Amino acid sequence: MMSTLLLISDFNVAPLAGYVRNDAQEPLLRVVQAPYGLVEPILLSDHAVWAEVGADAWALVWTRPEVVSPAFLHLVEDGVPLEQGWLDEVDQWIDGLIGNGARLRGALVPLWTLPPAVRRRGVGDLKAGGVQWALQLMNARLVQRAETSAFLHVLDTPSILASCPTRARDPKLWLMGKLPFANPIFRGVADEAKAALRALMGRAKKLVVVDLDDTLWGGSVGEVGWEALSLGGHDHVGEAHADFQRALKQLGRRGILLAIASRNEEAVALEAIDRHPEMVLRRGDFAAWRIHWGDKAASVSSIVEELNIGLQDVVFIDDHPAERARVREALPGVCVPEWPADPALYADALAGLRAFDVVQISQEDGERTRLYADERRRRAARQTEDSLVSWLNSLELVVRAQPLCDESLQRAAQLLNKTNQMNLRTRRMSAEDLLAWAGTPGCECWTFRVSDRFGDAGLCGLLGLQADGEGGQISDYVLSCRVMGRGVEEALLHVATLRARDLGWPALRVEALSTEKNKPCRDFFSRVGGADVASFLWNTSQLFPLPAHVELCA
Amino acid sequence: MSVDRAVIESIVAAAIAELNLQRSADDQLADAAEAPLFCPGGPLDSLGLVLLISELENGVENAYGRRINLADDALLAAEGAPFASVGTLRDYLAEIV
Repeated sequence: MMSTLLLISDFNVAPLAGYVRNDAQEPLLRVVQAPYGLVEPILLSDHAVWAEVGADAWALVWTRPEVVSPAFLHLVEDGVPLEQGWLDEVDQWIDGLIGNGARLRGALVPLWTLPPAVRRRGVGDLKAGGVQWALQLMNARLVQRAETSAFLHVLDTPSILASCPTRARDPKLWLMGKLPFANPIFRGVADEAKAALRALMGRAKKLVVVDLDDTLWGGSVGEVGWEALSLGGHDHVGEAHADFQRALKQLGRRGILLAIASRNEEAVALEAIDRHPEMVLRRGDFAAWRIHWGDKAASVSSIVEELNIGLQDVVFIDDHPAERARVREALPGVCVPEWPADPALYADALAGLRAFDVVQISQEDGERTRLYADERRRRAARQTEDSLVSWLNSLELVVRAQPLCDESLQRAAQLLNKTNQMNLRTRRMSAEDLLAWAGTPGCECWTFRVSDRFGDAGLCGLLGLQADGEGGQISDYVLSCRVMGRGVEEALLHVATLRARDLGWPALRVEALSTEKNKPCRDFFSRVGGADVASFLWNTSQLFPLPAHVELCA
Repeated sequence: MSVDRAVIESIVAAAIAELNLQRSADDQLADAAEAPLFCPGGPLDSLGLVLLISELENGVENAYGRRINLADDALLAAEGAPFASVGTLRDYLAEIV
């Protein structure tokens, strides 16, 4: 379903509306443009525009700072000194915005800025009582409030202004069209808003597949040998490649997986990765690699299959236009950005993708590459076992079930909002909403940590249970794809029936909501329910069996 | 074609391309000499004209290092005004730059 973005502003945002509507990147948005200049009447009343905004809507509330605080307006326009407590006006404005929590999923607020013409005391503008000093305090208050609100999210307008290649503002646009910014700024805010919504909806990319020669390093390792590659050192091209590697390394630390698709001899390429003294990325930084002379699209497909993620989660980076075209044609779901010819621009090009934004980073994020390395060893063990049963028995699988708590909340919310395949009802909720829901009478939420002899996979599962007329139902059944197929699915269902029986529910209702991506989950429930559809009523006089190879503990 | 004429055409094309990023698929501006812009029944409204003027002034400034003023009341109201079509606009810019 297409989400709606409601634009609320005290100035003309028609260009922004156009850019957002026409942007082909996910999420595609229906744009509702509120009449400008009516910020408070819209935020604080049942203005007619709300009738155009259905459920699942977000708002982008972009104003000049003068609209937020009358005291600030008087300072800017008339030089009236600020009085103590003036920031309360900012709080009141934010309260009014947050008061729309029931009719919006969330609100994006670009940081407030002033045009260059608002220059009063020059250097004194940043001293106490100056306009820029006051503006900084207003923005600091906004950021502070957003830190404690799951509803409010702030966009970094000054960075968009700073990176504007031409004039960011044109007085003529303001005088003739009540447009305080030029097109590049509206376009920048549109891009930033879309990136923020991707992050909030859990749609950030999960994997970067990179080429090696002239992408990760300068030169062809097969031709010149690893010792002569252009990487680091005192050469600007080598420095650029090292910078690019550092940028990728940063993504890895945040849980974005890195992989290699390269046409090379594997042993030669891996030797360069292991031995070149200026390599920032080493073998352990990559979750997978395909280094051979075959088709790169096939390599990307194979990596995606190994890591058990979707093609839509992948960014493919290659310096060679033909390779990019090949992957783009063969794998339309993969994001294949145009790539600059100049390595000096690589790191900026990566940042410019805005594909990896996240709101929170959990402990599991930082360990994700290790988790996939564990999985590689697990698969290798699978190949040495005679049968699936003996392999499962050899895993020493432990599933730890615990009620949702403060410590597990962020990761649980992340799992709920990012998991697509093994997700029964694909319900999305902020951490705060999830915690509030779990505390509602008749509702409970369980989290599941999974470990085996190869390592700790972390918090991988979530179960939401809710009382209903016939007993109870599974509101949420979510499992990370990285532990699928090992009996953890059954362990979660065992716990669900166990809790249902303990709660005195005679039956537990399972009803899948079909999405484009949750077929694996529906297939699982169809199989265990013994029906064609993934919906059934489980009689709790009998527990769903726990697989013999799974140790369940609290 | 003089170099300036080619530059002018590219400035106009870039401005039209930028405006098209804001316009719906069935309301795209054409970059052809006869394509109408700001004229009776034309595709540009007053806001579109303002945005076009800003793009063109920036484009000329980037290419030639000097600022021109296209938002002149007399210019906008003139018979056969330069903003009537892509062709008239190119001609006018080529004349003043």
